[in-house]
Amino acid sequence: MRIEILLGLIAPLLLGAHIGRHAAGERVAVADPMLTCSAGPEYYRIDLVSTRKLPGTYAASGFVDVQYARSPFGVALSPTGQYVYDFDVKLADVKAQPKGHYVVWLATPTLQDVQHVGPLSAQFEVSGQVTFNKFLVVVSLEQDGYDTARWTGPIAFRGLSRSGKMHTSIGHGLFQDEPCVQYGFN
Amino acid sequence: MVSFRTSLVCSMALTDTFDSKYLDMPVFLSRRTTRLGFTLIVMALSLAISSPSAVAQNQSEKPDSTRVDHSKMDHSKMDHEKMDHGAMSGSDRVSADSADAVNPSGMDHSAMDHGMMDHSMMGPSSGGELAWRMPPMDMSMPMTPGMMRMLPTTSPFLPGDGVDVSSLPMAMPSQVVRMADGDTLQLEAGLVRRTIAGREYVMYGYNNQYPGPLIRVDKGATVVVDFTNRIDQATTIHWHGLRLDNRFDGVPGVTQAAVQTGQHFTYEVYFPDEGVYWYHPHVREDIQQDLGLYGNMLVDPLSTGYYSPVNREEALILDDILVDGGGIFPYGESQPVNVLMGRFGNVMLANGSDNYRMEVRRDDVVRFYLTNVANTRTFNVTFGGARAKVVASDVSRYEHEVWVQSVPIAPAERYIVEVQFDKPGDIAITNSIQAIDHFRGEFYPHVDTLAMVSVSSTAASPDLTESFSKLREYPAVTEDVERFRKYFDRPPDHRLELTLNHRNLPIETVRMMEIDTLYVPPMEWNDAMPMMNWQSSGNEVTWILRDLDTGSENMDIHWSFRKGEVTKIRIFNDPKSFHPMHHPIHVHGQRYLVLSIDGVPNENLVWKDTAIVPVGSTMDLLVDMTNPGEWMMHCHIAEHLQAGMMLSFSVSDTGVSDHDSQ
Repeated sequence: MRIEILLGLIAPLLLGAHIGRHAAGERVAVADPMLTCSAGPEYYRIDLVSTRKLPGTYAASGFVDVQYARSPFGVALSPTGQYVYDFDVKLADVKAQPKGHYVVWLATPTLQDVQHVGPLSAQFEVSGQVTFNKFLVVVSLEQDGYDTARWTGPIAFRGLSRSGKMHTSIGHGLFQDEPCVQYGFN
Repeated sequence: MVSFRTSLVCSMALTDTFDSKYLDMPVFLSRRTTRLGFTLIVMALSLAISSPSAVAQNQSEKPDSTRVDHSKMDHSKMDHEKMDHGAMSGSDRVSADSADAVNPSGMDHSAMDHGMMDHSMMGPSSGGELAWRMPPMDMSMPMTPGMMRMLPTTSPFLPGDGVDVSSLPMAMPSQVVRMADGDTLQLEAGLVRRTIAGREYVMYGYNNQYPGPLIRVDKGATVVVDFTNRIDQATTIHWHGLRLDNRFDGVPGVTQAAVQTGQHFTYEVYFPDEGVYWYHPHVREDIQQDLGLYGNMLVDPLSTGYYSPVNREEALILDDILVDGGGIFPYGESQPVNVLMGRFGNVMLANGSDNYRMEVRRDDVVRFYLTNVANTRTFNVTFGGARAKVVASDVSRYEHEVWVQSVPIAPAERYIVEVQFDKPGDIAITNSIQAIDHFRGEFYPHVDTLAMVSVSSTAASPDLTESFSKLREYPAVTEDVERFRKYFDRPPDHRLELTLNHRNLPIETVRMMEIDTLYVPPMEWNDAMPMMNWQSSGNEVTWILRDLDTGSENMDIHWSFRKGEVTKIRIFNDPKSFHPMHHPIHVHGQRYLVLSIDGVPNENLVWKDTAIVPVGSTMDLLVDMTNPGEWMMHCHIAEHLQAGMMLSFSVSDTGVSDHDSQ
């Protein structure tokens, strides 16, 4: 009986979170009823996951939608060959904090390069452009004077670019028995 | 006892005579279908016994001439001190790929001595001396275990194999042929001697030139090209991008019969639009085009001021070719190999030269007519930081010019780019990309030098800096496009999905592909899996254009349009297919606008005939169906085309349209 009551309380929350995810990730192409294909540009969409460290973020969700920056060539590239993406960060079901601002950062996986995107708007949105090959998305809670080289406050949300999921084959799968040292690995 | 895979290759060779590959494409496909049952049985048996031990045992019993020495090639015990990939050893990779290549891992390649392993006779010969050998590759990246025992299921083939190279005429650089309306050009395809990176090769050429003669005409002209085929294969000429009379489009089995060796065909070539175009065979492009059968056509505007003033013009054809210590790396005989990703070369060519140089004066403004004729490589062209703006693409100028820092150009695309070189010195025109190392799961920067520009300290005359500094708008293009704007938001008339089928690929390839799906790059800039790519032939892989409304695929698709009809085609490149890859989609005989990518409208339109559809993307094309006839639409990666990725459509003066009933 208690479980049923508990489920009754949780179900609307889960449903709300599900709806919220769709609202946060809406894109023009996906909304097109003629585009009935199984996957599309959202294949490269980045899910933002709450770290559940801050109140008001437990049921929150979000996306980073990436699309090619405007280019006469369709595919936008930097002079060194990185894709140039415009991106939109959107959070849903998140509450503003009484003190501080949510600020969005992009970082390479080693954290060697960090890009300060800026604070989320009152609608919890911000846009920017990125040329990193692989990148992390970090939404931190920053106090005033957050124009720093790297986040200083707690991380509220995090995400990883689709390209970041490309990982090494060394030492596992088909290569688990390979003598990787011979290929330059310790 | 010969290995079963060897017997498979032999049986394929027996059932698939050398002539069959020259037949027109529809016939080629149907013949392949009739062989399917036999092939499947043999390949299934081959797969069933292809455990490493079985293969090793079988291979060890091969005659010496075709023997694979697995004592040296056991990958799990790979001894790099015994490996030799001819001129393309791992230690040579940087210099072989490019003098500017960046070492992806920081490894000391020089410490890897591949000096003793001989792949020169790896696998079965097709009856002569030619045999498969291991493709050139970066040996800092191990290949999937078991792959070294595998060979393509088609025999190796090199045109002119056995011909004494010294008996052939030395090919000359391309010459400009200025033609007026009604003029006739004698054009001959033949075997030529080419020198690339200091070595001589037997290749093909039009009129003994590389590239073929540059045909320069005024807009509206019609010229006659009296073509003779002197190469050792049947061929045709396709006049890429021209909205010409359908009879002369050069598609075997659709618009003409293939021109057999020694035979002639007379083309009437009409030039309705200004810009840069190119001609190439439409038979086994993976071989014939790759070996040098291509040339540019420049169509000059009738009015002055169509383009901005420039100090000089330069038609620059970009290409690559795959060579190793044994020469040009063999092609597949009955089927193309490298069908998964297309054949990447390891020597970059600009206007057919691996050492192309041009000289300009300081502040010269140069109008480049860029054409990519590579089988599969997409270039990201940079001009050493010099200011550059893109003016036009395949079939028209843009609505307005745009400053650019690089020019991504896929196979068969063209771009007209104006560049001002304002600093004296040597400037490298490069291909600058982020390559992928799948083994390490990394991107790494890679730079190839395509050409060198020597900028003298002498000032340009006249000085065109002021006019170059302005971005021009082209209202004529906007007005032309405006007539089509009412169609922009209509639902698509046709929807295509880009995908592929595979059968009987090596199990190692299948396993590797299945685990390597977390990230698929939108574009493939380098051959990150050369062994798997090489071992995929048209026998195993079919690339597919699928009509999402009918379920029909490739040449089973035939759309009908009425002349003057405007059709919207939505193309979706499925990122969840077995091997997603971008595709440059080419429409014959018509022009189209790229309306949007992933729902984002294109706000600077240009008429195209070829455009890239990245992996995971949806592209809307609006095609202006003005030119009657039977036409093709296909991927312009040569190996993808040969592996089936094409459809046909008709445009009729008075006939019916698919949409008459709608």
